[in-house]
Amino acid sequence: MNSGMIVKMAVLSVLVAGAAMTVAAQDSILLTNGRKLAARSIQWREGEKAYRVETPEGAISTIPKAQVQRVDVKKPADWDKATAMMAAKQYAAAIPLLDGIATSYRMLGWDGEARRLLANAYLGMKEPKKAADALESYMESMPKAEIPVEVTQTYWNVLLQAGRGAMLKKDLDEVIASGPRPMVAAAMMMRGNMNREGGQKEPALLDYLRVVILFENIRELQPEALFKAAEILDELRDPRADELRKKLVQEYKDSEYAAKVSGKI
Amino acid sequence: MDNNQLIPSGIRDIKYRMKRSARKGIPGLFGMGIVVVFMAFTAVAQAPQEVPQEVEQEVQFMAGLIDAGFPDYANKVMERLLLKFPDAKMHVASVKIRLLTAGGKFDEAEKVIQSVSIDTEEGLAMRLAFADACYAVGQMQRAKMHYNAFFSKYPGGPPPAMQKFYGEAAYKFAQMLLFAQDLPGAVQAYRYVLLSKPEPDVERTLMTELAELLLKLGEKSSGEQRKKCFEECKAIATKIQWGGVDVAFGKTVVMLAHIELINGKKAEARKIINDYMTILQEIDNMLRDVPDGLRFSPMAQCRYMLAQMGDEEIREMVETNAQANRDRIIDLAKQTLSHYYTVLLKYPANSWASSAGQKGDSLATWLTDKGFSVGKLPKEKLAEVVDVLLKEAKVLFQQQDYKGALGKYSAVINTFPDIKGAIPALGDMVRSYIQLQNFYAADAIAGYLCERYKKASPDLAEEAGNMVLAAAAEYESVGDKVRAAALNEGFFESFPTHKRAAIVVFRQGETQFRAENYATALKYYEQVMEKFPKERIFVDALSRAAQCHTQLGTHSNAVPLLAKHVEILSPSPSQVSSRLRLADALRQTGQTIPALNEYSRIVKQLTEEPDKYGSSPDDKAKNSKSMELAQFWRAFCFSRIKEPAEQVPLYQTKAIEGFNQLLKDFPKSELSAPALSGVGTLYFLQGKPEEAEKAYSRLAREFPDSPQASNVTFAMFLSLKEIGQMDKAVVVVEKMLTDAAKYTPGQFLQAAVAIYESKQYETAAKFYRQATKAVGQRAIWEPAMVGLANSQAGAGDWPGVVKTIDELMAKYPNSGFTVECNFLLSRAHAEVAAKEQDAGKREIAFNKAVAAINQARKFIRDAGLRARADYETARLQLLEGKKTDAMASYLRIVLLADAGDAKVAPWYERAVEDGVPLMISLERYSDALDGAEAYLKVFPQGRLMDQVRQWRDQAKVKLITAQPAPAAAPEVKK
Repeated sequence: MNSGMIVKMAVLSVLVAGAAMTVAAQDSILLTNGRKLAARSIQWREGEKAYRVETPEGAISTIPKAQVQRVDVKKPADWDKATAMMAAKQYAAAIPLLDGIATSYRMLGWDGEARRLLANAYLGMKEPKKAADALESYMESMPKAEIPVEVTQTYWNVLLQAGRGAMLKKDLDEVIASGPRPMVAAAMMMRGNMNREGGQKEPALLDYLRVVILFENIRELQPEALFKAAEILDELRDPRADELRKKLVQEYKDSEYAAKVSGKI
Repeated sequence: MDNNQLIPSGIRDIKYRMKRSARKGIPGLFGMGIVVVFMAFTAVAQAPQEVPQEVEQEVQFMAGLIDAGFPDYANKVMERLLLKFPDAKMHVASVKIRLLTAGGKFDEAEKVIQSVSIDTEEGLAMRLAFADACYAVGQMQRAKMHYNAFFSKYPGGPPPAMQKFYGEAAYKFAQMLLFAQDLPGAVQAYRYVLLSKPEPDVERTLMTELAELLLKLGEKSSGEQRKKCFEECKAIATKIQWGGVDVAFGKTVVMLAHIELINGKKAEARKIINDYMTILQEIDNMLRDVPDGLRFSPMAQCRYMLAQMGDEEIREMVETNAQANRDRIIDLAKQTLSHYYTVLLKYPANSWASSAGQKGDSLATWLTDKGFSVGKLPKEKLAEVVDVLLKEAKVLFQQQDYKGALGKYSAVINTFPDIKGAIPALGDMVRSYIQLQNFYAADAIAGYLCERYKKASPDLAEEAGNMVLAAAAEYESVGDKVRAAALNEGFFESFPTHKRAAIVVFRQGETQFRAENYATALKYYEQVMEKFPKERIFVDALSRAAQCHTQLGTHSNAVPLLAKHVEILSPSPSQVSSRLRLADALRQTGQTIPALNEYSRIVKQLTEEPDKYGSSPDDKAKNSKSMELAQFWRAFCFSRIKEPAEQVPLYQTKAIEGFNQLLKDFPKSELSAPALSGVGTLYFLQGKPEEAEKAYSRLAREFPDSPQASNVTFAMFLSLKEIGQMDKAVVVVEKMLTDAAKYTPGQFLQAAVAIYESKQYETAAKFYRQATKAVGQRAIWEPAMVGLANSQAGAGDWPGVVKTIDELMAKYPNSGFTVECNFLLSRAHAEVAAKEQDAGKREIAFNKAVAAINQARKFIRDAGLRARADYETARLQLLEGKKTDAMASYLRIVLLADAGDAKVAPWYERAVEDGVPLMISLERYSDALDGAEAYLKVFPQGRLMDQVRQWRDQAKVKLITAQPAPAAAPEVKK
């Protein structure tokens, strides 16, 4: 899924790095003042909005969320099993494991990725509404800047497939209005997909062209945007599709989209 | 005079402040700060008040759409934006105008402007956008008119809300006028800029630039005009001096001195500089701490001016009375040369440095010739200085400080263009410009390297060639393959005997080969073969060229290349592999016996002398693979031989032996299944059904997953077909129809394709019909319908073709086979029309044929299909009885199409096959000769070789003996 390849610059401020799961031998918590605390265990206290940290010496302290930059917790015991099941497309078996991880590891760095995989599992079982539900509460409870990019994109895809166009549109509009550049580009791409799904060819085309013209430096999205814009132009019997394909093949020749069009030029 | 008295009292105690130019990269008169106006549209369109981000973004998007060739969509975006933001009219005004001017509709754009009041923001923005568009296409007067109309609205300066917009527009206008060398206009434009009340720092820079312009204008003028310019310049200089001591202050010293010089008052000029020397030194000291600061030091220019004045005075004194003025001359010469060399040595990046060096050298030489002993900068010292400068430049280059490196290199090269080390310096300069994306400068210097050194001594030429190659590699590294290729071409043209020339051309071929542009790659390899027959790389070029021909399907052209390749190589796995390729190429061109001989040679060589052709494990593995293939194809060739008829059973037996040997030597080979299938078929042909059954049973047992095992009937059919026993093959495969339930539509389709290729059209049609039963499987039904139509065409059932295609297009109007279907439909209608007696129906049918071809042309994108469209058009014209038109259509293909393109080649051959005899029949002998010779040039060993030679000779004879007919000019359609 090429939409998933977004520059991580957009989330330098992300506190919980969903995509970069650090597998530390011991848990640790990095504070905003730069201090790092090793921990025997870390728990999240929803009511207090704080972390309960037990140090290796047995001392317990409560640290408010605002003072925490990042939490590194050991990989959940079922994680490898769950991901192996996902890889083997054993979605039904993976779901309870992922659900358990998402609940038990709330705010501990693994929940975002678990929810993303959970959503993908439901999508794999052709249950987009459940996929949307799996992510919704997470998305609503987390500050936008802290949500990993891949989770956001999965969420959007899920909303699209679940037919929750209005919600998706609202989210996209928000990001487009005020998000960081790479996220804005991804949101425009997604809006293009949404318009296309709804049969709105011209608005979709314009969104793809916006990505091409206004976000030329977000290179990861360019091949997909050029490819999809060319497809729509073909449908509209517009010969300018060739120019876009040419640009795709010349400037992004190693991308999978360039491979798809090489026969057409 | 105390310098302090020159500093206005109000600022005497103010700390000096250092200011760089507020507009980086636009150093006024002496720079290249011309803004590319057309791209600054959206900046012009910005209003001073807060602009919604969406509007800004959409305006930028619209501009991008126009640049990308989508003005129609830009228009749509604009309409939607105005619906959402009606107040955004001003912001989109420039885009509106740009849309019109991009389409060349300048008059229409002007009408639109005139319909909008200049008193509105929209009207103003439109006028300026239009003016910029006029400028971009060279309509300077029109541009000036609109700009001046804009500025004349605010004679005393713009209102506060407009200041930023006004100022930016005025500055842009000033640069336009400077570029057009309209000094008075530019001066006025600068005055406009200052009316916009810019920030103090910006204002200071602008005043400096205006003063410099006034100086320049005054110098070009005379009388009252000059006086006015200089007065205004001085007034501005004074104001600048009141503002503080910085580079701008230093520049005013230069200007004031310059004014005195122009007025003929050298003494005054000298005095001004000397009086300000302390301040200039202070400025210098501060600039020394700024990276590359000395480049902008006014001290350099002041010293240069002093040196120039001294230079002139010295020459005058020498010419007047050298002896009487001797002491003064010597004294002044010391000072003058000191100034010159100080500028060169201490300010090497400054724009005056190189000229100072040259002039100092020139003066010293002149004085020496006149009998004076002067302290000329010794050559060793000069060389030492140059060496230091070049080393410093190199360090900067290696640190990727390309601007800094360019400054130092330029200073040296401009002064001493042929100094030792100049060539690598130029090479580094090119690469620096590439990294800074100044491609014009890069190409200019690279061009200089080529021109200057292409005829130099071998070692210099080699060095220069290496620099050009390094520059090409630099272009590759930044991803600019087009410029890299252009530089490589330039290298090759200028340094054809360079040690690396052959490799460079070969590498260009490799680049194209990797990109699968075989026809283009072939041209490079042919260049190597033609120009470097003695280079080592020649051998690789031979092999690659043959590979290109193989990829392009022109196997006949690959044969002589491979034969030569084999000849050149010593016994080795490479030679074996090359011989195998030669055998394959011979086989592909139907030369079965020669192919068989080559395969046999391989088998013999590797059986009798295996170590001679490679003894290492790697070599043996390669040779083993070659042996496997050779054994299989040798057996295959045996099975193909049909003459003499009485020997056929013997050859079949040899084929069986060959296949069995392969199965014994390579039991796990991928070719085992086809070999077994071949054995079975051959036994079948020899009337040995039991042996055949054994072979097929073994096939099913040992290779159950092979395609041959999954459909033995079809496998037998293929084997019989390959052996050339088509009649028997058809009998065998028709068993599939009898037991149709056992086979899938996909298998029928596969069989149909093979049967069609054997030109058994009626049988093919039956198989395609079976495949069309898969109505719900588009991936099978669609190609089956197309195949059915083709089979019907082959069998001459033209009404059937029409029915089939109509059914297909009705079900899938956007079919991927649209082009193919329309070609078939066109031919079918034409054939039906040709047989139609009723004139009205005939006309209707021909019209349908033409419409179908035209429909096909709408979707054609590649050259191969275009060639086919022309070919089909010719066929249609023949059926209509329009022989001359048909001939012209054939000629169009033969003379204009690129036969080197694999997709074009088959239609090219058919056009020759049909067209040349037609031309002869129409007595167009000259065209027939052209067509025949064109074919023989492209396909010297092609399948029509013999026939075309006959036609060529026939045409030649006719041309000599018959009255020549006027040659028809082929109609060239775009």
